[in-house]
Amino acid sequence: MTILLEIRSLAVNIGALYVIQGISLTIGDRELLFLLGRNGAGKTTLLKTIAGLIRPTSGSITYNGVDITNKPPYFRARLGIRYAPDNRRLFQSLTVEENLAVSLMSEGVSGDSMRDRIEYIYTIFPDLKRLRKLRASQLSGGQQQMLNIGRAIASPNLKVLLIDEPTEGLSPIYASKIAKVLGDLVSENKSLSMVIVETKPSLMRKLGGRFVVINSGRIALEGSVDDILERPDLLSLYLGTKPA
Amino acid sequence: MSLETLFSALVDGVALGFIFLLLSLGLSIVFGLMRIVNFSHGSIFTWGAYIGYEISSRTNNFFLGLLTSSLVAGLIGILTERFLLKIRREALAQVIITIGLMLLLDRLAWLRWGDITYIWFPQWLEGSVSIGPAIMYKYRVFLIVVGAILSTTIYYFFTRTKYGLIIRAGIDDREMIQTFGANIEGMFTLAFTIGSILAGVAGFLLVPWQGVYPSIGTNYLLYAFAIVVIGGIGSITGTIVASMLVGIAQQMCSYYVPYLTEISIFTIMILVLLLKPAGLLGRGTE
Repeated sequence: MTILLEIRSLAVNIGALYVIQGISLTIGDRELLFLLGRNGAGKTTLLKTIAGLIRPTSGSITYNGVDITNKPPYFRARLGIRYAPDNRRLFQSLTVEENLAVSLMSEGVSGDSMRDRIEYIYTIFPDLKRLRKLRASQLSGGQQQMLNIGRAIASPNLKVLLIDEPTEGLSPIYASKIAKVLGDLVSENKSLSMVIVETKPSLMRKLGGRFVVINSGRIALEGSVDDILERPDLLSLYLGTKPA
Repeated sequence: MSLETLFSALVDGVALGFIFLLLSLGLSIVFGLMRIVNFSHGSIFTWGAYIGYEISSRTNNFFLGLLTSSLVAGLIGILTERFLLKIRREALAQVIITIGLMLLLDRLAWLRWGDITYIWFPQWLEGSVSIGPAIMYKYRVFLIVVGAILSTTIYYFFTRTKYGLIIRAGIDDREMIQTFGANIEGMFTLAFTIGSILAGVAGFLLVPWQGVYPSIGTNYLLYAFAIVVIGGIGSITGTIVASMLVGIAQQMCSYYVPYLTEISIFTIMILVLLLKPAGLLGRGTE
């Protein structure tokens, strides 16, 4: 498998806190990687650092052999790296359709290509088409999450999707919708790699792939998802949960 | 209280509202996107007025004055954002830089033009027009027309164009918009330049009505701050609503209770803050 993203000895300090302390890992082309760990372990910080929203204290990140460690977020986005945050961070004063449009316009997609991509998102999340004239601030939590993910996968240039807790706080109906969409993306998109922060085992069971457990800013354990799902003791130790 | 007086007060209020809108919009966008309270905004308004006055009075051409004032104001905006604000990134340092620029621009204007109030009036806009029972100054009606055209253009820009949408998204979350590929640094320059051009145009449009004098920018900057707070910081629709509200309220006061004119805007601001702390259409209400 070709290496797409390579993270070497990454360290991130936020104020006096050593949030990430020397993480090294690789993400292959078309690979699905789950980042596991308890709250405060450093998972979100790692995703934000890959997306370019946090500058690392030391270490390096390369994408397809290009050093992007100190490149701004927009540069990484134009390479095909997209980030869907856990707290959604939608453009609240914009409508659903404007949120989708602005995510495409930002990378230079416009006209018919833009309309096609928006229609593509509406086929994945038909609810969003019905809600397209509403402001993002008027959506429910589940609808906001659909828009958050829809906005991140709208790009025709998508290569790496970074998703932070996609099913957190959602009703079972919305959680299973999101899980299905991510599953379809994995099976349909032949050139997509995904890094998912997750604290629940149900999504891992559905999607499979590889996992990395982060504990106190370091990699504590890694392997295949199938392996860790058979170890309730490890799930309990690192996630504080048990498989359903 | 005659109907004609009421109608004239309304027309003057809407005309003043458009001046407020052109001035406040830039302040609101720059604060919303860059989190900078730009104290030099009022001085750019003053310079737009002086430069427009100089050019139009010498050439007797209103539109040449309008064009020059907008170009000079835009140039000051670009230079400020590209060079001065890049010196230090911290918000507090940038606020201090804009205060320094305000003092410098005001002092330079005073050295060049002194304490005199300059007024220049385009001859073709002198006199009055009758609409129904009311007689109104031609220039104030002209201001409404120009203000409406400019406001519609600005509204179109922010709701229908790529850069307008990106700026609005950046006002909501300037970190996230970068994760989709937008270069926020370019948007800062664009927003600052648009805001400065609008301030310069507003300053020039006020010359035939109230003239230009060194402290006019500072006075109007205070009004603009109040309008941005009333409308809701960073809200374009809120700024439009608040500008009209304040313009009409101020002119109503100047017609009927002149001693309340100066405090009317701040009374509205206090009332709005008490009832809606985020402003009329600020975040959380929009």
